[in-house]
Parts: sequence; C-alpha cells; structure tokens
Amino acid sequence: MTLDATVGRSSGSDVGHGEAIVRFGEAVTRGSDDIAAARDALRGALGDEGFVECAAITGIFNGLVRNADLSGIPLDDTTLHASQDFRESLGLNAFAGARNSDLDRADTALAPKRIFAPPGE
Amino acid sequence: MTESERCFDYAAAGLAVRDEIADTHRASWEHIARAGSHWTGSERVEIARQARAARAARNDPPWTRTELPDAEGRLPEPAVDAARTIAADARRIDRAWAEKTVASLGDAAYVELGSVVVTVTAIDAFGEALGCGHERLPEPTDDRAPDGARFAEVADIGGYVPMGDPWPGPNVSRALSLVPDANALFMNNVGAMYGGPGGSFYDLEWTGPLSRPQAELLAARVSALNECFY
Repeated sequence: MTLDATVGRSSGSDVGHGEAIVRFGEAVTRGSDDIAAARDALRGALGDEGFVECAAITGIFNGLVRNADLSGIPLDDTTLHASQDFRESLGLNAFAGARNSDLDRADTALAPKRIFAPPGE
Repeated sequence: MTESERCFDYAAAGLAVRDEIADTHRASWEHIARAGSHWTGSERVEIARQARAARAARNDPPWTRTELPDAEGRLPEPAVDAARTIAADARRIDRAWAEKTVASLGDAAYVELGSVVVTVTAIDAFGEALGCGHERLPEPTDDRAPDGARFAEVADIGGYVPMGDPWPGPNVSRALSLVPDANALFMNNVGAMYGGPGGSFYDLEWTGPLSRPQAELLAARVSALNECFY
C-alpha cells in the first residue's frame, strides 16, 4: 500500500476502491460540501455493508485522534521503531503530538516483523 | 418501541448498521447521561453539548466562533474551554495548554471530560458519514453523585496525564486509563466500530466487507487530516 495516499499525495488507487475510500474519509472529516457525492460513490463501490464499515472507521478515528491528542500519549516502542522510516518522509514528525515521543530512540532495526502482533507474540 | 430503542434507530433510516454498533451507541448515551467518576450527569451532558457545537464550528477560525452555546453556569469555564478545544482544535493541544487545564480541573476530571468529548465526536461523525445526522443528546439522570474513582496502577509515561502501567492491551487503549469508567465509555465504541465482523486489531487479513488495507488507508487518512501524530 502506498503510504503517500494517507497524507494526500496520491489517490489511494493501489488499494481496492481506495480513491472512493479516501475521498469519503476526507469529506466527512472536513465536513465538506461534496460529502453526499462521496457517500454515494463509496456506497456504489463497496455496497451497503462496506459503506457502513467505512462510516464506522471514519467516526471512531475522528474520536481516536482526539483521544491521543488530549492525553499526549507517546508512541509505544513497537510503533516508534516500525514507523521511523516513513514518519519523516510523510511529514508526520511535524505534527504537535510528536513532541511527546522520544523520536531519537527510534531504530528501524528494532522493529518487529508484525506491528499488530498480539501481546506476548 | 421504548424511547431508548428509538434512539439510534439506524434501521429506520434504511441503513444496515450492525446491532453491536447501534447497541453501543445507545449504551453510550445512557452512560453519558448519568454521573461518572468526576462529573455529574448534567455536567457530562453539558460537556457533550459544548463539544458538539464546537466541532460543528471546527472549520471556522477560533476567534469567529461567537455563536457557541453558553454553558449558563453548568460547567466551570476551564471545562467549557477544554471540551471545545478537544472537539474542534485537538491538533493544537500542547503540553503548556494541557498542564494548565489539568491543573485547573484535576487530571481525572480532565480525562473523564475528554472521554465524553471523543465519544460524542465519534458517534456524531458516524452519523454524518452515514448521512443520518446527529442523535438528540440524552437527558441527564442525576440520581447519584460521582464516585471519584481512579485507576491505581498508573505512572507518568510521558503523556499529559498518568496512564496505566504496565498495560496489557493496545497502547492507545490506555490513554484514558486513569479513569476506568471513562476509558470504558470510549473503548466500547472502539471495539464496536473498528474491525467489525471480518477481523480485529490483531488480524492482518480481514474477511468482512473491508480488507485490512482498505480499513487502514481510511484510518490513516482521517488521522493525517486531523494532523494527529499518534
């Protein structure tokens, strides 16, 4: 998956229906005027169930980002190491929340094979 | 149909929303309406009202948001400011603002306030995404006083508030862990809204209506638009 799409530098077209998914997430998060069209396009692409799941993810991540920002939670070590190689290139280190993590400790060599591995695995 | 069942009746809007999501949203409204650990039900509903209004104005410069509702004494001014800031300007929160706000409200009250804001934000954004709008905020049920509960096994791990340490689950799930009831309010929604029937946080391959790459592309784009580092 091309990570550039996550910061708006590409369309997300390397993921199935990625363009419609990105456009929908942007419209909802921004509250922009094209939200109805983005909604219709996504529903047409993914069907009702996929559309609802995208709505759920968009909703909960609009909460999760605030959850992280209000608490100042630092990155866990797994994510700190695994994200080192793309955080800078995507411009993520410029976000205010970056100040709460010790980015100098990041070392890609320490990154696990699976970033979503269950505890103890 | 009871008043509670009419609440979040997504099926009536012709939307195939999973029962788990609708049930969690109803439970969240009931949860917000009653006393938590550090705020009364009336205060929590006012926090929700301030957050909803501020987020609706998030695209306007802060100094032009002159139409936000007056809390009319139902909340201390620092709480009104905190609810509005988290809802509309979370990307601008820094340590100086957080420390000042925590000093004014208390760390646990700040965490609980935040849990109400992020829960209302997630549920409202879901309604906007579906095109069915916002559910009416609940009526407060002030039948008991806040219980003052705090999680004991917390430490300063570098955030603005103490967090559970050690912590067995995903890291982000400990952000509000100082107040267990507050953390449960939001994390119940995370459990219901993220992943769905085809996979969980720990599964690399999802078999439901979305693939994991589709879900993560959307999640990452929403996070980046909010300028969230985490």
